Amino acid sequence: MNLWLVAAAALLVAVIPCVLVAARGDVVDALVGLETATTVVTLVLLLLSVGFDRPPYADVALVTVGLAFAGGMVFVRYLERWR
Amino acid sequence: MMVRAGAIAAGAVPIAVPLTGRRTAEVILLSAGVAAELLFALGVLLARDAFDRLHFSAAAGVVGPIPICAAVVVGAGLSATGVKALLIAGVLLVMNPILTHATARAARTRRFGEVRARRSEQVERS
Repeated sequence: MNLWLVAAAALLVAVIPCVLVAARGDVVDALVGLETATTVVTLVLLLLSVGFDRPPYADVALVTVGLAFAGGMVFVRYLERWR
Repeated sequence: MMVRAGAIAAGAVPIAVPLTGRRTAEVILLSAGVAAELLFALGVLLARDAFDRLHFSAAAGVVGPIPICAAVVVGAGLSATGVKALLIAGVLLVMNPILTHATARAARTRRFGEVRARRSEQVERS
């Protein structure tokens, strides 16, 4: 276990509050929790890629960050219309 | 023990390594980034409503990733991983404020029916 993996494990703890918010709050709170969680997970994936010394795995983090934005915008669009 | 070429440049070394200047910078940047993310995630949990939560969520998308991606660049240099880390930081810096703004608009529309400020609200006008 190296420094990067330790940091990834510590960073993963930050997902717990986001999951709690998404589970307990209303739909807008849940979306905010989801957005925060995707940011954290993106960084965790990047750190895991460095920690395991597998540079191609960083592509997963790169794809995640793009999809998180697209997914978030889709949720926002429907949230605005659906009341 | 065999160490693959490039393993040290990529930072894949055990924790108990003598602290060089680069290693110290990695540790400081990583600690700052992880601490910031943990703090903002806690803020998202403890905030009063969605608008307050959005402040912490936006900060988590900008303040945390910068030192973490900087640590990766310091550790891996401008290799494939370093460049991808820079790209991730860039995408987060550009896209996260847009997403936060859109979410705030949607939340306001859901709560008040429209985005514009109502007469009863005290809004600072230029």
